[in-house]
Amino acid sequence: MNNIESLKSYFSSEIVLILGLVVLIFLSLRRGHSDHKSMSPASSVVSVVTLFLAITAALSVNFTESQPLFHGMIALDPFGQFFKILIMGTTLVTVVFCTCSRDLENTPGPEFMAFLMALCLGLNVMCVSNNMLMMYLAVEMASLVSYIMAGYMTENKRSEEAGLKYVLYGGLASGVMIFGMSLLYGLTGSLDLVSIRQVVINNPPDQLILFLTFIMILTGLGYKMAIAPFHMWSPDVYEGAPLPVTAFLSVASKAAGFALTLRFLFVAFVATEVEGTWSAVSAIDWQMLVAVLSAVTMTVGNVLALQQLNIKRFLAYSSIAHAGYMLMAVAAQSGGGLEGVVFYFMVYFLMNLGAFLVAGVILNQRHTEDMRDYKGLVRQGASGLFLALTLSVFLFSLTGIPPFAGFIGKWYVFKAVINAGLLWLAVIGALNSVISLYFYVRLIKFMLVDSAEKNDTIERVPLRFASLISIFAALTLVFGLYFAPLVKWTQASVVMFR
Amino acid sequence: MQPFIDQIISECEILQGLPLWFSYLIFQLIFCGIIFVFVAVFAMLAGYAERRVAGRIQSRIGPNRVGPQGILQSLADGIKVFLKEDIIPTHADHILFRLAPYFIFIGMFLSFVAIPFSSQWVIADLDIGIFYLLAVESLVVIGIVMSGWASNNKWSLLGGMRSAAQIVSYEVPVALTILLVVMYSGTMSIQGIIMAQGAAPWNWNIFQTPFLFVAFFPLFMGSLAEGNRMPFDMPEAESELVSGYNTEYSGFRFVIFFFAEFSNLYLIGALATVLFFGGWQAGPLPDFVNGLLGIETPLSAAIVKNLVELCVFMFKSLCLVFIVIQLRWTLPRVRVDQLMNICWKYLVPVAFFNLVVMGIWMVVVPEYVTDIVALCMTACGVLLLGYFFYRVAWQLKNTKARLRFNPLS
Amino acid sequence: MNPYFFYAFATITVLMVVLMILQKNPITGAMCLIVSFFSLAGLYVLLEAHFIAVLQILVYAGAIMVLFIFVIMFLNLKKEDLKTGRRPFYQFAALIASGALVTFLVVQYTKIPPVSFPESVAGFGTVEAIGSLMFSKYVIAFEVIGLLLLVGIIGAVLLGKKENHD
Repeated sequence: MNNIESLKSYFSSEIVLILGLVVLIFLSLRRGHSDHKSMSPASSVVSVVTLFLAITAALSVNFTESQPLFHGMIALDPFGQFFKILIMGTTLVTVVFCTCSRDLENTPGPEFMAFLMALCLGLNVMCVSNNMLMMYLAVEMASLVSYIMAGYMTENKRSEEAGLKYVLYGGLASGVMIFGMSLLYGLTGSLDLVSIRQVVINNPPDQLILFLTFIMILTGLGYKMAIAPFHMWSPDVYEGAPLPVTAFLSVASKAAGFALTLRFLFVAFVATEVEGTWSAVSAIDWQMLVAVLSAVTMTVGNVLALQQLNIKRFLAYSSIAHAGYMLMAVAAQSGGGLEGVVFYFMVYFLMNLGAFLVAGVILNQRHTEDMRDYKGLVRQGASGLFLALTLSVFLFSLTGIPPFAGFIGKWYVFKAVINAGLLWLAVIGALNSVISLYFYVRLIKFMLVDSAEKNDTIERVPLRFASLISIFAALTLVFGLYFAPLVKWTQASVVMFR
Repeated sequence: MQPFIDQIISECEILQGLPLWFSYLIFQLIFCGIIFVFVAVFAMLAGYAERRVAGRIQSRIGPNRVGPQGILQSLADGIKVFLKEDIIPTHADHILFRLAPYFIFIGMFLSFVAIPFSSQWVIADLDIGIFYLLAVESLVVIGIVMSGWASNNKWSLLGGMRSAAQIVSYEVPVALTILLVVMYSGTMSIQGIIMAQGAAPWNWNIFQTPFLFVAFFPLFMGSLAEGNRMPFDMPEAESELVSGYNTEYSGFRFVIFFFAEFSNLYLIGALATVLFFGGWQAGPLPDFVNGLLGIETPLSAAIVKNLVELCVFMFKSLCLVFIVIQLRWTLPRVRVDQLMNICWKYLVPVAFFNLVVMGIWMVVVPEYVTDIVALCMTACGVLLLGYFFYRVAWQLKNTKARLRFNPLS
Repeated sequence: MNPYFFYAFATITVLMVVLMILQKNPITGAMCLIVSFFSLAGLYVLLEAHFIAVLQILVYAGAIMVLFIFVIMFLNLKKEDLKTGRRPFYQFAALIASGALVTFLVVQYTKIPPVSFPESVAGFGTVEAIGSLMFSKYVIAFEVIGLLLLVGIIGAVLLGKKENHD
């Protein structure tokens, strides 16, 4: 489809985001006292409106086929649409989160919201890019803005460290990735994922060197998904970055990384034989590779999370572990596995963002990130009770305990893995879930069982937070019991891969 | 260049016996040699001219001892400098210290490769010539920074850093202005840009639209700054930094810096001539001269034609060089912060504005309007020039100055 | 394309980059990188991509490296600062890994089947060809780069500027 047609009909949500970005940049040029802080009411309102419009625009497109846009640079399909909406939803929550966050209270630069929009745009493009050039550019755009936002608290050493570490790791990872891409281009003579697949199937290049390029590209993608062994940056960055940014990175950035990886693997490196099942192309059997990666990732995440007492680092390792679970479903190479990933992301969005929101409230009031300060939270007034209960809901869900949505997500993932015959992987996954039970429940014990060292009550939670947290907690519960609509949506999302 | 060499080969029987590539090679080398000599001679004469002009401006005489009217002064200076001891400071970075002057000289000399002196006398008419000029300029920057750092001297280092900041900044408005001209001419080849103009002033780029007229100033100021000329000679500010990045250099290496500085002086004039003043375009002048001399053989006619064009080009560019020299002795040096402000707060926005509006102009405004505007602007230009001379005459009358028209008196 | 020129430029490029990594002195390292950029530009010329070659020199060797050197000079590193703790294990591991990679690539080099690339058409590598591709097929990439640079510039200014406490 040519450029004008693509722009007119299918690119509206991105256009809305770009317009919002421009408006926000111009807003930041105004002179005024409150406008020199990163959070000004006007910019928050503009961002919320922009995101709302963008989500509506993305939802309004109806299709089942994959549409190549802009001469095949971008693929428009339900899969990309799902991740786009997920990312824009996360951004919306983050905007609300930012409006009362202690980390961002005194940071200068009204451009913060503009960065958020740009990051959202970059991640959106990541989800839909169908060409290696576009993939690389989208990854770079998302990374560049992430670096800026991670180091946004310029007066805070930790934040600076986070930004710098992110840049160093990111630069190396994207360098390795683009080296791999150039090799792959040399081997196949094309940048387009679909044509690469044709070459790889019909005229496979030398296996070893293809494998090398594959691993190189996977390095860059793995860095975006924060899977082991490319996860080293994430605890430090998550700890140093402002809390809303951490929340955003842990969900949206990871989602876009997964979307890109899935597209890369399932468009360029699979040979579809029967409807609904895939096998890896004969040149690269990446199933085992991904399976091993996922096993390593979840083990590393869970084991290292055991001794974390800082809530941000704790959630960072926990999100690494969750990336491992999702990767497990990718390794299944089946429609069920894809659905599992998509479903898991929906659930992960709810429970992880919810946990971060609660942590944000406590950080705002207590100025602490130490989990030992959560002791006796349940007995510290009505707000304390509310926070303790909702956080417990999110943590139980993250563990994957039955009545909560997390369980359903895990169930789908494990089902896909077992169906694919990867029993050993399922066993490792189950063992990991048991490990994770320990540290999730430890935090719950801190809140519900232990008694507080100091006896002060939690003040009233701001309405925005309270409503968001309760909605997320309620949805976590509801989707644990009645998940048919989610399943329907996930099935619709991956239909184009069949 | 190639058509001209072909013509020579077709006329000359000895060359026809040789393989074609060999004669091309020989001729290219000869022309490179000519350029080299030109640069050397120009540097000498410009050095002399600069000092004489300075003398006149400061109401003194200037060098007038060596040779008639001191014209050999530069030669004498050159010999003196050559005889100096070649010193490399003990704590300098030896390799880089030695390498730096060559970087600068190569950068300068490579620029001359793309400068068209006439319709056929250009060593390489590159497809992307103007872009190439910008690129090789970067070698000079690297050389300057290198020399500043390698000298291990704080004056040098400061000079090198100032130079780097200055050149990198001023490259932006210069590039944007060049882009404007490229957009208007529709080509990046330098010959193409000249060909798109004409011999008459109303065909010159500078008088085509108001935007091109305005664009001339960022370009001119930018190239002054890139060439470290007054009023932007921060990198070698004598009163602050001894001599800036070349403080520690002596002997032959210093001569190279000297050469580079004066060949850059010529490049400033040549670049502005090419982009805005019609380059070598001489109109019917070559034919007229040929008719006057009664030349009939095609080779001689071509040589005369090129010579006439060369003279036109030289005249224009040397006029600009003269203005640059005069500027040096009339304007005070700007401060570093003023330097950066001028660039980023005035020149860059102006250049951007020009670029955008010029694009709109080219799409919207019909051709006949452009022609009328060009004529009007030329008329304005002539009026301005007339006013300038009127003011000069008025000043002279009021101050009752004694006019001495002999420049050597 | 003349293979001898190719091998010459390629050798210089690789050699200079390796030298850059091994240099203790950052300025010398930067100079090595500049030379390697120039020979890279030579490779582009051999591939008939003159425009890209000049861009390589203008942007990398000119602007970016000058900024690099500028920053290094501002940091004003002392000799003591440049001494890093020796880590024999990491050095050994890096040596092994890179050696293995190089050997592997060299061995595999002979095995790569010829890939049919589209023949270079007339006007390949000229400004016109690149421009028309950039504004037709790759326009979306071009626009994304535009946004990327815009955001990058704003971010750099924001993070880099000193706060005026008033």
